[in-house]
Amino acid sequence: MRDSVKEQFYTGTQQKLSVELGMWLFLLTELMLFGAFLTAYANLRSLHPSAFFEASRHLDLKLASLNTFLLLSSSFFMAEAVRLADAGRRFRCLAALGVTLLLGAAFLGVKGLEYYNEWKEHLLPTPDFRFPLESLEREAKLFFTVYLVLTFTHALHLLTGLIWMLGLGLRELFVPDSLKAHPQTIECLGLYWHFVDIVWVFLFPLLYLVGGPT
Amino acid sequence: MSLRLHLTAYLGLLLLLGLTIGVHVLDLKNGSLMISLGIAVLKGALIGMVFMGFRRAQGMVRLYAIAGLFWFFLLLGFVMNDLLTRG
Repeated sequence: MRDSVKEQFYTGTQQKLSVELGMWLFLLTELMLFGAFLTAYANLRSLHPSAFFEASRHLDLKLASLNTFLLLSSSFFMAEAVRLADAGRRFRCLAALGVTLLLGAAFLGVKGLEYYNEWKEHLLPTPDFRFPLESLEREAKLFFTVYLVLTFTHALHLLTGLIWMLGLGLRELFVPDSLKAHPQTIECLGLYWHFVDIVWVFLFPLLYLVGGPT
Repeated sequence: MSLRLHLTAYLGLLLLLGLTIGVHVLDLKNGSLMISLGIAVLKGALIGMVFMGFRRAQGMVRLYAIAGLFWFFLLLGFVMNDLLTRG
């Protein structure tokens, strides 16, 4: 592993700690991004509680619950992929990465289906927006705007993670032992993936569970 | 890091997901969302501690994470403070 230590570091441990710290710093900036959106959400929700209550009931809780299950499962396989890479189990690591990739792609597919259903029901914030309770239409549109911004930003992050994962997996397939030579890459990917999962864990109650059961 | 630990955390997360949906179906009015958010904090802590390895992270990483949460709550706190205390 010594030969994979970059010239600016004295030891592999120092490099590992620096990369880890850098990744956490990046995640901190991501927290600021989602934090700003979540603050906007809290602001609007406190201004229009009844509209948020009603609008939330028009989201598909079943699909969102399925997506939460998919993402939590993907996090488990991602953690396993990192552990297996660390243990030098190359093929098992690639298999765990593959399952994570499939679960992540399934999440995006379900999310796409959800957007499609909402678009058909005129619930996405476009000029064609219509809400069954006309008196709350303006405020409900605010809810769906925040919903779209939060979930779409999250989905873009997930897509980035999937592209990263695919690249890492293909590199290991075609350039064997690249995982061994760059052990921090998969660790950083793992941290990123789990962070995106945590964001969803909070979006789920904030967006889908605001209203009472339908 | 071990498979057993990861599996335990995963099962815990699924249990918490079930609990979240159960609380929502029970419909405790405003209490439901607060409990669901509390469960989300537990889920986030499980993912962070076990899957992200936060419990064995170096001191600086812990400082970064705490600082991040501090800035976030500062932003949220000041915005909401202004909004909720307007005459």
